[in-house]
Amino acid sequence: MSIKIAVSNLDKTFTLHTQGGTVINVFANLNLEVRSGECVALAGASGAGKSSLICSLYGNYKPQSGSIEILHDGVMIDMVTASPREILDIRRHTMGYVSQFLRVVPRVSALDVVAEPLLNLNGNVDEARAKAASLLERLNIPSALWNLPPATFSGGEQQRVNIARGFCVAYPILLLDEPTASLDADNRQVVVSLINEAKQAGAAVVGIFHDEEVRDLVSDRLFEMHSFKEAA
Amino acid sequence: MTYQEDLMPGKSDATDNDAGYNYGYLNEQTKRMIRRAILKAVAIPGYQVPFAGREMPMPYGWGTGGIQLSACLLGPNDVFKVIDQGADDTTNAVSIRKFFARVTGVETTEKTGEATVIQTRHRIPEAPLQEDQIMVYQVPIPEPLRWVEPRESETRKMHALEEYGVMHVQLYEDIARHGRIATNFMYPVKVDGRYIMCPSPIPKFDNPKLDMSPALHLFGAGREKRIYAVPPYTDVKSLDFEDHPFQVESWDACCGLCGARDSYLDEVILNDEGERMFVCSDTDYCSSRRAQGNFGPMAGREDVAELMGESPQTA
Amino acid sequence: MQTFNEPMIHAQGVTKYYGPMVGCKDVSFDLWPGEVMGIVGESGSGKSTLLRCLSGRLDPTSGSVSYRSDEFGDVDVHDCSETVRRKLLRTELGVVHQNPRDGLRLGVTAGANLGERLMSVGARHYGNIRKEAAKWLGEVEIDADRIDHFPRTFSGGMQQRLQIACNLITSPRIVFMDEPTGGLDVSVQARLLDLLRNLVSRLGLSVILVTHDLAVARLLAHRLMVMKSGEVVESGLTDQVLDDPQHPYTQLLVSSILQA
Repeated sequence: MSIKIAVSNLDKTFTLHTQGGTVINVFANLNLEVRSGECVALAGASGAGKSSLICSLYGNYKPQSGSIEILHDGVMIDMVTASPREILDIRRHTMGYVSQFLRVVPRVSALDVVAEPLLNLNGNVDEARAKAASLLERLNIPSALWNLPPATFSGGEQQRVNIARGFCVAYPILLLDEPTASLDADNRQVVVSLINEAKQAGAAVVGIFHDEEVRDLVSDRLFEMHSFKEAA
Repeated sequence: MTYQEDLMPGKSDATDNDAGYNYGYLNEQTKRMIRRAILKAVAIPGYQVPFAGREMPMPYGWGTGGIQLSACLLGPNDVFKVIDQGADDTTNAVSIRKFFARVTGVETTEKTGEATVIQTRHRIPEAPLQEDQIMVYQVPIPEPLRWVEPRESETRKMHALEEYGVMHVQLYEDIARHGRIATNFMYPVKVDGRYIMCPSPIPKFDNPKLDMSPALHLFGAGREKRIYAVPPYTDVKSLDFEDHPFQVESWDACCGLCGARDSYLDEVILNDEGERMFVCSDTDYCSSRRAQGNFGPMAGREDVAELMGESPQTA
Repeated sequence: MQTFNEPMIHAQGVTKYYGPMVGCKDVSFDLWPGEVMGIVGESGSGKSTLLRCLSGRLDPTSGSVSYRSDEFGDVDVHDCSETVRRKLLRTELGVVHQNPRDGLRLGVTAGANLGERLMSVGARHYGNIRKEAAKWLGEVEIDADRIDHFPRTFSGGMQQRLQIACNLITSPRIVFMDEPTGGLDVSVQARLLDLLRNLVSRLGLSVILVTHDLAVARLLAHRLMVMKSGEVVESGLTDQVLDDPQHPYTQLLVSSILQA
């Protein structure tokens, strides 16, 4: 199977200029390859840099050195040096990201929040809304809520809207940051099937799963991360 | 027009002249400056040429711009006519006519056909103008864009760059508010396909008379010190919308005195019972028609005799 | 939505001095079709000076700004005739001022304000102008029956929405916005932001957005330039600049706000 993500010699530190220039080392010399149809679960104690790695993969954090090659439109593009425009294009077509929290946009209905990524991709409102509706239904969001902005939803409902949004486009690469954190057993099961379906369709998945049961059901291998202090 | 005479002050026939003033009231340097401005205005139809307007012996708003133009135009052989609200016998018209009779000694007339220079504020005469005639207009606000753009620096730029979209804003507002273009006076025109021009406070009824007119039309704004012109045979188009084309006023009635249906009519209240009638605003046109034997429905009435220019037949 | 291979705006070394004072210094970037770029920084950091240079309303001391115009091809904004520049400002460019009163004619009705841009590019059919004006009132969520009302009878938020509609009615390609939500209360701001966000993405506008409000920048902008004392100290993808700021000033800016 083809390599979709190739991380090599990645270093990430935070320099806190507002706090006297304190430097926090997150990880150094990190190497990782993820192939099509494969799910890699990031493992390690809290503070080991799992979320930072996901954020770096998504272009949200800026690594200090090394490279993150992403297979986009048939070519490998380095997220570390790519222009904002390229990164946005990669995010639109290639790489999806489900964070822990839904960033609520005022006045936009749950259905449109979910449909937005697909709409941005193909511009077809009906198709995007139909796909969004099927995902919300699968994730057991009552249809009475679909036309309401998710700002007032419960934590679990917001999380499910967020997941639906992440799966609305069949991205070749999926990044998941604790997608099942606040879900009940039934919905966890739905998320597990969504992930496995994406894998079968050839997606490369990198995720953080604190729930071991979910992790065992979806991941093909663990990528152990140690906090920098431990490694040093 | 010949100017040789008045270039030699004192040389002209001074029988009727007021010896204390230069011929035509203004001094020769001022006339020369204004004539240059006139030439420039004629060369660029519709363009407002600034000029160094002088103080005239009358308040701004009473026609100081028009007077300065006339003062520069009138030669001893000219025949001068002044109309105010279409009439030759109103106070302002009489005063201006007398003023020029005194400072130039030119012949004056009330007949449109006889005049070579016609100074006016509100009307263009009904009788067709000729090639050897000059219309002089007294203009209160020369800038057609002023209504939408108060900054002079900006309106000049808009003229220079032909940015005239805002002119239609005014017409749009009219239709939005009244269902039709309700602007009846100072209706903006485009001159020679280039400059938007304000045709002084003439009714839009008179706008079509400017188009391809054989006469020269000169506009003078005394307070704002601008001169502009429509040369003979120039294209003058009134602004409009495709679905609200330019239309002139029309009346159901005819002139009560001369029966004319093709002239601009004023409404006159006759008595305390509210009886009213319409009469030609152009008094010369009206009396000429009557002289030719045309009479309107009210012509025979005694109480309108004054309107016909006759003294009331009281005992 | 689309990717084009030529930038809409190409800015090269834009520098503006006010006497010895730096307005903005050596700013270069490309803005692509459909892209929204935020310029953030505190008051006095040169954001508005830069915006005025970019929109052609202020001549820079050095540097150049060019647009890719439909009508005129590549246009150097500061080296073209005023006719072209002003034509662009009426057609392919839009400018949304912080104070809507700077962008509207308060003495004429909402409909006439909307119609003016159409009429300025030659629309001469009253019925069509009115239809288009009513459509754009709807787009910015103003009741169509307000079309004959004067903007001065509108609330601040409505005036701002009207100003935006007045800019968008001629389908511009590039819109410059200076603090478009400044001076509005929070709920009005939220509505306006959502509206802008939808219009920008649906119409594929290229936008340069000046704001000191990082939350506004996050919601609307694809990428950011952070300015301090007239210079760009950091630039990049919006979420990267806000979530992992590199420059000390950006970190200060991000940590100074309650929540972006």
